Amino acid sequence: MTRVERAEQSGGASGSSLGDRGRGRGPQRPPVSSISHRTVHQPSEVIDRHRLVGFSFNGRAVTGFAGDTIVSALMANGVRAYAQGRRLQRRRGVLSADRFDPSCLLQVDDEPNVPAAHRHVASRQQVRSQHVWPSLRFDLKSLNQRIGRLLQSEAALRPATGTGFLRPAYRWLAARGDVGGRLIGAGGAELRAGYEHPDVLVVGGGLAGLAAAEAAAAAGARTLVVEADHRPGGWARLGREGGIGEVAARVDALDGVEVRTDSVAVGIDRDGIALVVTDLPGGGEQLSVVCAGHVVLATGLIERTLTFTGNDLPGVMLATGARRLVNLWAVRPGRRAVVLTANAHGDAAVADLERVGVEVAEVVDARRGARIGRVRGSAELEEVVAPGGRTVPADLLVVAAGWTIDAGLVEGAGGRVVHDRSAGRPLAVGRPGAVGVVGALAGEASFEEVVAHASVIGRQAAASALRRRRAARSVRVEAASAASTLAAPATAAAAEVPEWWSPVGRAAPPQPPLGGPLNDASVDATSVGVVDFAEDVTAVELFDPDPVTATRLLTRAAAAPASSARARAELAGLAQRQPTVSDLAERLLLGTGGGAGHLTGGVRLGSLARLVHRPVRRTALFEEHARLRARLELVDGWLEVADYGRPQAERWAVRDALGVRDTGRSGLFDLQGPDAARLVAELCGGSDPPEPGRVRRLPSGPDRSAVVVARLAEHHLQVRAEPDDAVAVEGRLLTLLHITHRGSEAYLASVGESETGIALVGPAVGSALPPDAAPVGTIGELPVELGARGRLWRWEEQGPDGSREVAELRIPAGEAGPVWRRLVDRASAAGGCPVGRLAAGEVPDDRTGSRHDERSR
Amino acid sequence: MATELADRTDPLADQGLARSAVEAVEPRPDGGWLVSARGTDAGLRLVDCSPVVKVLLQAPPAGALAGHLAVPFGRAELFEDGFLVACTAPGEWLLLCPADPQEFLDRLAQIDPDRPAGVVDVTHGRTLLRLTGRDATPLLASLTALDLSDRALPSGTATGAAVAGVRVVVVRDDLFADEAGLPDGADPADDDRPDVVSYLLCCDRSAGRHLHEQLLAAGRSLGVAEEGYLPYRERRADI
Repeated sequence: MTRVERAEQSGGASGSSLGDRGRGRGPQRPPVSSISHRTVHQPSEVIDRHRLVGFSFNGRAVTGFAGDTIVSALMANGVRAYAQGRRLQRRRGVLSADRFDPSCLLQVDDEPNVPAAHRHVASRQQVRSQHVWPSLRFDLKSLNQRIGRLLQSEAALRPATGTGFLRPAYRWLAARGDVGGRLIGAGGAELRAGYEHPDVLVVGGGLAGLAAAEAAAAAGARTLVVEADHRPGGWARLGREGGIGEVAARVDALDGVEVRTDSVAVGIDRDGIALVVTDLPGGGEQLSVVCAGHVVLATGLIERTLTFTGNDLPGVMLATGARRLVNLWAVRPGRRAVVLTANAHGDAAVADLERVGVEVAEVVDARRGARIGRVRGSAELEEVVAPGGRTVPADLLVVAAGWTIDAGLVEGAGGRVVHDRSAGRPLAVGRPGAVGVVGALAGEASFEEVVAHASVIGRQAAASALRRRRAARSVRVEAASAASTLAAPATAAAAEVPEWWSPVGRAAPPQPPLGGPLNDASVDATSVGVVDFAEDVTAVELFDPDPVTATRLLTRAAAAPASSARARAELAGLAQRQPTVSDLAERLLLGTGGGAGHLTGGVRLGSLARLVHRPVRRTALFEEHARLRARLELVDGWLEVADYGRPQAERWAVRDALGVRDTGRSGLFDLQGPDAARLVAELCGGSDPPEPGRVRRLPSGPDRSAVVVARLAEHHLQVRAEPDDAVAVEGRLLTLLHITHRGSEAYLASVGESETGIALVGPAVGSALPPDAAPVGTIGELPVELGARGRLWRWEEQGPDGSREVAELRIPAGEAGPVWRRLVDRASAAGGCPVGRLAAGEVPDDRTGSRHDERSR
Repeated sequence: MATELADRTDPLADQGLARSAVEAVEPRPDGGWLVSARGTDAGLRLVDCSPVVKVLLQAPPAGALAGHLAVPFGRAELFEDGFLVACTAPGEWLLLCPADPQEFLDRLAQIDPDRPAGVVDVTHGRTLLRLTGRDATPLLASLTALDLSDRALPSGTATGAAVAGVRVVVVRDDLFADEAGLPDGADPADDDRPDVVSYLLCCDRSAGRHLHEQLLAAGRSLGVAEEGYLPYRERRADI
């Protein structure tokens, strides 16, 4: 087999050259159509027209270009309906054509819920529609398209929140930053969290984000930019205004800045700790906990939808979606279009469509009071109906209705969100010294003004972060002076902010309806138009004449698991239309009405759908236990010895003589560095760690669990935790190291599996060890006669019957077998024996005194 | 009592030899370890390389040591000494050393004496398997969600992934046909590039046996066979 064949067999390159087209790959069904909707070359296009990529959609062959997303390739092939609303089962097409497009979730190979407007096409990919039976074309469940009006409101809404179990888990992740130091990764197993410590985290790689990053990096701050799209540039990539390329090139040339694409900051807390999800090539996600000294938010605007009957028909899309399809992937989104525009973005969409040969049948200018009534179509858009009943045949309706922002991210980071009534949208306000806000998130401005403002904020962020970094260093020397440095506000650079940039401070104009000029018609509360595309909820389901019920429905919808900022803007509009609940509108819009704390994007967990493996773990002494014919039990995925066939004798051995027990499951954490002792002291609630060469049992954590701490050298400590506590202790150490005391000079490694443990318990412990062995309370070398390398830990612990001694030998795991056998012989000579988990249950526990007993029962 | 219970039939049991988590077939002592001496001529091979010294090195990701190593996150480089250095997380490197790494570590310690790196020997705490052969990718793909294509994971890359439900550091480290002990199938024009796909899989010792069993089970239809560490070492000095 040649290398090329091997590469193809393994999934190979994402694209194949034109010359590969003829390569035989078995029988294929005929393609869905030719590439009939591709336009001529566009200046901003990201496709490589020389590389064709073949994949399948619902079993039929489709061809796209390298650089296409799945959705753009389907659109280029004339496939406009490829998904379904998950609850109402109505056919869906493109809405915004980006990774947050709620209508573009498809199954790719065996990974469900893939954002197909973001995932690149790859050779041999198998793409399928979700929630479809028996097929998208003959879908029986899509009968709802015809009978949607009959659905009852509350009953229909209930299943929409059915997947809520995912959301609290990730909210908790974002708040805690770790799950005992581990996060769930691709394949369903746990991956260790990647902790990162940039000085400045810039969320959003558009023009403003890049300008802020450039300024921050130039000021000496290590800067990380996370950008959700495949390339940085944001909105500027769609237009042909110059400048973004130059900014991007300058950022590229800087040393101290990393632009990480395909990455979403799903949540940020007030301490600047962000949970960042990065798409891995070919599927799966990597989670990182980014602990930044300063955060700059540059997430830009989110285009709002418009609620009218039929607004989810394939062919109705936002101006964002139409412009992205045209400019980035050279796809003609329709043949005859109606454009509803309320802003310059809509005007630009008209220009884009006309440029690529789409017939723009009518421009409905909302700024002059024009409106649309509803749209009609059986499977796709067929005609647009004006409020007076006039119809315009069209297969494309482009909506540019207005903007909103991701309030949850801003508020999570500690910023504020205010509603600018004159602009008809929310604005974000930063927090001095911690959170900066740049770009369209902060207000409207020209290209030059955005760059100038972002540069100032970037410099401020760098100054603040570097001050924090210096303070973190000096805390080891002089805590008091560092505290005062940290408390100092970032006022020096604040004076640089241009005066014109005060969108929040301006005098409040007379109050137009919430949501801007379109709002009075933006939501038809009695329509079956979709308000929340992710949760698949229509306006009529949320309308109720009773204010209490209406409030409950709206707040519940805003708090739904997949509800987005885009949906909350529509919910606010819906509330505004109902006088009895209109006071709820602003809270919904600003994120404080139940939707606060929502994560951006979300984590797909698609790879969890793969085959679940349940690994069985064995301690290093497993073979020894097998030889002793031990009775093994599966405990937390580990094969552990329950007993060796004589449980009563083992209990007596522990009580009256000597028991030898495999403690290979216990956690052992190695800390090295000047700050290691300080971290351990904090872990143990302020208790001083032992002196070098000594061992102490110390309380740890709020649940009265205990750890045993050994100090091997001044800057080298080891922490031993019981198996049940190991994950929590590791999590606390990671949190202390990377979050609470970020910048600490210490290294943490889990070495429990390298240095396996054998414990001696019972009153005859001393007799099993030579007289010159390390005394109680100390750590020393293993006695020579045991014939192995390793360390002996000896400490006392308190139990119901008073204090008792424990000796534990820590031995390189591969060499533990002979030591175990010698110890078993010694125990036998002393009237003891090897003991399993059940007998060891009589070993007193500091926390409850009965935990192990309970388990043994 | 222990003597009554123990079934001591293993003649090598008390020789003080270190053992891997994977039971050695046709066991022989080698360098203080009990290793397998089984040879094979199968085209798809799984070798337990656990005796290889493994060192976890931690240092500031933007510090002098990181600059000296010049192995960025996600990459694995073979150094002159035959050591493979894989960067498995920012500021964290896994050193796989077929020989004593002390001299190498001493040299590293000189680079930034003010901020010494964290060095932990995890040799006994990790299982290291090498999966080699032209069907290694399909075999591994059946146990992981990782994209194993040449584009996503070319030779010289390292990444963390779940393989058969186990947290594993996967290093793609292709071999030449003679190193792999396979007939030369390379393209003559590409003699300078290794042409046999090979993966190093490093996981916790406790899960090593499970991973080994799963790889053998999943690769049965592909003809995977165990190869002993001894014949592997005789053929290849590097890791």
